[in-house]
Amino acid sequence: MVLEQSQAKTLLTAVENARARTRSVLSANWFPMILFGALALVSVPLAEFGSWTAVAAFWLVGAPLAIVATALWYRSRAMEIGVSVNPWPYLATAVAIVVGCTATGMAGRGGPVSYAGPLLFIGLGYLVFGRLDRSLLGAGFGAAMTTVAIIVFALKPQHVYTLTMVPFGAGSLLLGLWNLLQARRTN
Amino acid sequence: MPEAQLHPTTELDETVHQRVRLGVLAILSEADRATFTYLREALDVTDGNLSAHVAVLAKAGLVRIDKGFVDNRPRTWVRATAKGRSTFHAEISALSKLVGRYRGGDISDSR
Repeated sequence: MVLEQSQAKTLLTAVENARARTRSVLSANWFPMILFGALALVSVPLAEFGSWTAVAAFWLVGAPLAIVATALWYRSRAMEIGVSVNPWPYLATAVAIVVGCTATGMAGRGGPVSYAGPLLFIGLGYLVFGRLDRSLLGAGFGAAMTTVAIIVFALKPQHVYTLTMVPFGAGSLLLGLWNLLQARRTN
Repeated sequence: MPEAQLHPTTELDETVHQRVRLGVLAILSEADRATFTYLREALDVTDGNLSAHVAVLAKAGLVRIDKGFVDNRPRTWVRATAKGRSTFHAEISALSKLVGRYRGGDISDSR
């Protein structure tokens, strides 16, 4: 077999281009980012002017519905573009976030664990999503939320729910809008 | 000859070492599965050409073909097998070694 240097290089370049294009097509995650960001922001007035029961009910109903909507969005998108990732790691991470948030929220009994715990699970979950998507922005956001969870656990500030959900909601919303813009540009 | 001294071309896989077939495996190394249409457009090949190459990969056990229907229209999905993924990574590693070797000034082919 005679293989020219240019042939080997051309093959490697073609392979990298095909991989990069597929990665770019698959990196669209604006729908869940915007959806969960919006849910977090909507829940803030409930905590400030309503009750903790209202906030808990909001998330217990809203989070599973949002996960189902996200799964349907990914499925419909895969059918439309003709390429998809393995959904199971994403689904497992989403379920771990919901279970972790619910468990720490209830086990904390209104104490620091009940507000820092859910944010910790959200932050770690976004870190995993960032790793799965190979998104530095997503992983950085997850790391930032994990740090915020540790800080609020240590400082126990007033209006802790608002202090944690506003940066999470706004950050997720902005990252989602940025991703949507990128996706539109790619298409 | 010890394995460490073999020329990198000996590590190239004859089945995979082809632009379209390598392209199919490259895409499937990033995705869980891709439709025939996506592969055809991404690799800029004709239906017949892609069919022939995918058939070669399937025969070698490197990809699996799933046929189904979406909105009453036939759709063919292709996904890489575990063997396909490992063969692809071995091929990329061999190609990278080759390019590195050429850069080092050795352009002889020992095969």
